Amino acid sequence: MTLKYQAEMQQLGIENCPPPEYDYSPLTAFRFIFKDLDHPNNFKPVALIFPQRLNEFRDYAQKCQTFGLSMFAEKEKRHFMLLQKKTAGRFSKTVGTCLAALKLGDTDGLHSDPFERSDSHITFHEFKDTDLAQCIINVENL
Amino acid sequence: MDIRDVTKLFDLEYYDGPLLSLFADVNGDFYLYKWYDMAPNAHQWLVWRVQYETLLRYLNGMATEFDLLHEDINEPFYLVEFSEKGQPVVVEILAHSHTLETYSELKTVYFDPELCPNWKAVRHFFRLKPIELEAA
Repeated sequence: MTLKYQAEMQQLGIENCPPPEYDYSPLTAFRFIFKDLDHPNNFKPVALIFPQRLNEFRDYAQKCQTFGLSMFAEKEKRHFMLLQKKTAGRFSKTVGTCLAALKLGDTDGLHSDPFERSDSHITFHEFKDTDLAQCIINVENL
Repeated sequence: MDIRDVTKLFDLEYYDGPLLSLFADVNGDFYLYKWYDMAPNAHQWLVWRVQYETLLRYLNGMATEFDLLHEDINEPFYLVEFSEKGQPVVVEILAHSHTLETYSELKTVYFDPELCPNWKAVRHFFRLKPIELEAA
């Protein structure tokens, strides 16, 4: 299946993205979003949000990741609290103040291995016709 | 410091883009890029030089993030924005007192490998550079 941002990645010369070990197995994932469920940045990858929250514009391997979305495979509120603390309370300006639970099926996209990192962080690359807002099964304030 | 002459080594924290990244220059000096805030048309990064020994102590859980900031009052804190073409520009030099006050909560925050997307690579990289921790 075609990735949602395939054309944009091709334009930048990004190849082999996502890496071959990414798979499409269904899972419930958790992502920080804005209180406004229709906020345009809720499911937009960092590469496409202006201004981009990036500090390196030359590394193509990293650019692959910037077309994916950060999520957690386990419900974790403590990471949000810690990142708020580390950024003097500003982290929520870029990711919102809610935690959405998303039911992701095998036709929604490709994700990294949830067991690769001990914090269960995954990077998710959407397929072309996926509407992640429709995958939300629960939203909590943080 | 010429911020155009630094090369990114690793992201130490990442969620929808980097939040804390390690850079180095050709002299082997290390710099941290910490996401600072949003400006109308750019994101802002707090950039400062860190000593190798302090950085290693931080990565080993022996120093707090505040220790990294507090290390040397003679080292300036640069506020950096990237242009639309990705060129870094220093927009301000921040006062130490203001910066330390902003991040006073970091006095109890230690490095968390769980938030590091490249932890294996970071460990490998620093294992190649042995250091006398007691002498630091």
